[in-house]
This record gives sequence, structure tokens and C-alpha cells, in this order.
Amino acid sequence: MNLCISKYCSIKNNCFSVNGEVVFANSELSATEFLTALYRHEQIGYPKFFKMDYLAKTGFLAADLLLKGTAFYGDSLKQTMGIFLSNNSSSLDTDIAFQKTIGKEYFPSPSVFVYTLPNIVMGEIAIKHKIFGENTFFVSQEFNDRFVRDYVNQVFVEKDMESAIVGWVELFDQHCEAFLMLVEKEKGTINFTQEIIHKLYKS
Amino acid sequence: MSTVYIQSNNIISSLGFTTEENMCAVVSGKSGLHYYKENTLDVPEGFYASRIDAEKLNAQFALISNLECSRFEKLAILSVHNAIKNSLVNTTDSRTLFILSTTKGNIAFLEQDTNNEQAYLWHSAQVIANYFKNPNTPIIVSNACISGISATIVAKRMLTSGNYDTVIVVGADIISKFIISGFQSFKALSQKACKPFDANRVGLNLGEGAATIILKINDKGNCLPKGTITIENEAISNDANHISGPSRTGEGLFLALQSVMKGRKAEEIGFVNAHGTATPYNDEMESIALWRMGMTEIPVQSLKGYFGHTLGAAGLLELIISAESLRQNTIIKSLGYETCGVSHPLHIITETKTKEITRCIKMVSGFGGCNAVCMLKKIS
Repeated sequence: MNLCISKYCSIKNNCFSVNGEVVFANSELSATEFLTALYRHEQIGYPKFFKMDYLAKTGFLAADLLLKGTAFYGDSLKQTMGIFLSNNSSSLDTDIAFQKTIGKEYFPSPSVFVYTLPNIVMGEIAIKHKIFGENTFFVSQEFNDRFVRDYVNQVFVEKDMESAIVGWVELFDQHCEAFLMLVEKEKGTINFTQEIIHKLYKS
Repeated sequence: MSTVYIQSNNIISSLGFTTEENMCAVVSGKSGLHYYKENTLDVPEGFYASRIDAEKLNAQFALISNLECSRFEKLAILSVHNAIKNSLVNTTDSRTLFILSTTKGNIAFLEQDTNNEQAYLWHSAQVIANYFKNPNTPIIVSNACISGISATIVAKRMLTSGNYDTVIVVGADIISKFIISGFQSFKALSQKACKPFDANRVGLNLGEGAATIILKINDKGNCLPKGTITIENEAISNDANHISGPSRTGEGLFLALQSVMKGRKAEEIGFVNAHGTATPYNDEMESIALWRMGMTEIPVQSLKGYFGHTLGAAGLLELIISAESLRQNTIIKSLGYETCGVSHPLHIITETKTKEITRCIKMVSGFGGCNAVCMLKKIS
């Protein structure tokens, strides 16, 4: 079985790129302001976006723009699409925000608490695009391209899977970095190999 | 055709530090849940939970090591240590992989300092892997309440891919002000011992635990000893519906069950170990998914009345009890159940009894709309 990267995108240093081409950039904003600017620029029109924490906003935007213009965009039911994401700091950005609500002044908020789990970002993506397939969130100090290649490959071998959103979604203290790939069976010219994943992630 | 099987395991909970102690307690109907009054762990409200005795943990840990590490890391290390004690696993081998399953790890460190490297999950995973001198970068799975089963599934796939001979999966979470206050804010906690699937259930109890399974692969067609427990089938699916509430149609769980049950009849399943948190929505959703599968006659239990909800350890801890139940031909009763409280009545087990069984199902669901199902089979 030959897996291909049919499309990829990244959000890094206040710059959003698709297949290596810059689509939108604004160096004057903070990283989190940039997310809102990108959302408005792309006219996504999904008010729930404003309820999300920054990690979920990052992953949601990257996934939405990854699927935009592909057959997977929108709310057709997708049972054979998976989501496999990873990052460094889990949900620590929101964990710290929640911790601040349970100090001397004690007012824990359920709407903050729900985002103290890193896999919530996959839930947000699944809801928007009706993705019912396997979803697993990994944490690693650095993007583990070898493991990602091995694991995603194995899921395609074992399960009835046709496509997957795969990559890295990191957000901590105004440091924002997303790199997502749309992986499909036999579709595209970029092979899903460790070397290529590494090169695309670093570029 | 390769087979992935459980070589060894361990559970540490308020009910004991070995799988045997925990299994004995559960079979005798003993619960590890207790009431903790207001201001425990600096939480203003009292809560019902299952906690591991700090002195006992420190004493047990001191017997194996003088390593300076957190309570969370001690629990995980001790659990792995106990699991490998009677196995021939070489943790220093590059064909042995560690997988850590947790939701919050050392999150309590934020109480002192919000800029603390120890709060990173990879820090803890590395402490654990280093303790056992494992040369590989440990894998961390953090998938809310399904983490333990997710991690088991990841382990099985890494073995099947041929890159490893042994995978050690350890799941752990501890109870902190962070976790209790969050669940309290959700109004998800019961002020009494939880009552999974019961008409009067009002919420869950949290629990502390660590659980380890050592998985091996048999890809040479060797005969496994009678009574060996294998991971026969598994699936993960998302509800694509809501981030904090389960689907009203049980969609994700139904899809995962459908995938795992493909080619099997309901009556082949000896029992279902449900997630059964005892929140009104979770248990209702599970009953809908089982009903859609035509599995309402299969005996069902939740172990939350014994251990509480042990978060990142839950899937593993409950998978181990399920595996032991299969091995010992014992169907464990669901604690706290009296009257049916779900719209599709299930066959809840109200008495622990012996019965010849070959297969069982473990199912879990969590925030983010995730669901996972694992089917265990006993070699006979």
C-alpha cells in the first residue's frame, strides 16, 4: 500500500502556508491575534471558533484550511477518515489559565476546564467536518516523524481507512505552530515517508 | 496471522498494589471509595474518591529505589516494576517500547509554579523510561478518558508493525485540586458512592491508580499457553457531535462496537466491561449504543463503584480486571446498581459468579467525543 501526502499546510511565525506557498501573513500581530486574523481572512464563518481555546483554534484553523477545496470539506459523513495529532505541551496553555481560577479566588469554570485535554482539538475538527474515524493524540518533546509514519501506516494497513489528517499542533504562551498533512491512499505525488515528512515539517 | 497477548500486568489502586490484591478485593465486593471532607487537597467542597495511601506508596517505592521523583512518576514506576518482576522482559532492549497513558500527569506542580518543566508529560515519560534504562523515546497517549485503551491499541499496532517485540503500557493519574475542581465545576461528581446505570445515579467519583500491561507478539505460529489473554480486535471512533457531551445516538461507540464485533454474534461475548461513569449522560449513551448493536442481553458491569474513575489509568486498569475475569471465569458484579436507569435496559451484573467465558469487551468514552472498544479472547 502506498500512502501519499495529497496536501499539507502550516501555521508558523504568523504565516499561513499551503503546500509550501505563503497564503496569509501578518508579523505585527501576536500569535493568538494572528489566529483570529487568519479566521477572518479566510471567511470561515463558524461562530463556535470564538469559544475555543488557542490550541483548539490553531488545530481547527489548520484542519479547516487543509480540507478546503478538497472532496473532504464540509459535513458529508466521513467514517474512513482519521485524525492523528501530536504536540509538545499537551494542553498546558489552558491548564495554566484554569489553574489561575482555582487559587486564592476560587471560581473554576467548566468552559475552561473542558479544554484542559489536548484531544479536544480533534473533537472540534471532527464536529465541523463530521469525521467519525479513529482519532489519537500523542505528546512528544519534538515532532516524532518516524513514529508518526510507522503508526499512521499501520492504521491504514489494519483498518478500513481511506484518508487521515496527520501532524503537529502546538500552542503555548504565544508560541504557535501547526503542521498538518492530508494523507491518502495512492493519491498524490508526495510519498508519506519519514524523510519527506521531516523535510516538509522543517520547511 | 500474528497474535498480541498480555504477558504480565499490574494494578496499583486504593485496593492494593498488585493485580491479585485488587482482583481479590473486587471479587469480595470491596470498594476503595471514601468520603473526603471539605478542604482536603485544599478543595473547598468535600468529595467522594478512591485515593492511594501516600505513606504506603512511599514505603513501597523506597523498597525499590531512592530516585527523587513525583508521586505520579513513583506510581507509574512502581506499577511497571511490579509488572515486570515475574516476566523475562528486558527493558534495556531497543526492541522494547514504553507507552505512557495519562491525562494530567504532574499537573499539581502548577499549584506552586506555572513555569515548571515537570508539568510536561514528556518529562514524566522520560523519567519512567530512564528508570528502566530503555533506549527508545517513550510514546505518550493523551486522549482524555479513553487514553488507556488508546495506548493499548497503539501498543498492539507497534508490535504488529514488526518494529518491537515487547511494549510496556503504563497508565496513571493522581487526584489533585486541579482535577477535582474541574469535575466539580462540571457538576459531574456524586457526593456519595457512584451508582453506574442506576435510576438514582447523579455523577461520578474520581480515583487514583496506575496500571501496566506488558504486551508481546506471537508471530511465529507458536502455541500460546492455555488461559493466555489476547487482544483480538479493537477500534476507536469519534462522535463528531459535542466536545463535552456524549452523542444522543451513541454514534462513535456504536461505530467502534460495530467494527470490533464484525463477524461475531452477541452471545459469543461473556460480558461487557462498560465505561459506566455513573453520570446521567454517559450511561444512557452506552445503553443506546449496546441496544443498537443488539447486545442488551449480554452481562454488563462498570468497575467505577470499586475504583472510581481513574482517568488515564482507567482503560488499562479495567482491561486488566476484565482479563483476570476471563482467566478466572468470573463475572464481577457492578457495584451500586439497584434499579434500571437507562432507556434501553441492560443486563447489569448484580452478583459476582463463576461462568465459563472466552471473550469479553471493554469499552470507554471521553471528552472530545472519543470512544474506544477492545475485545479480549482467552486461549482455550
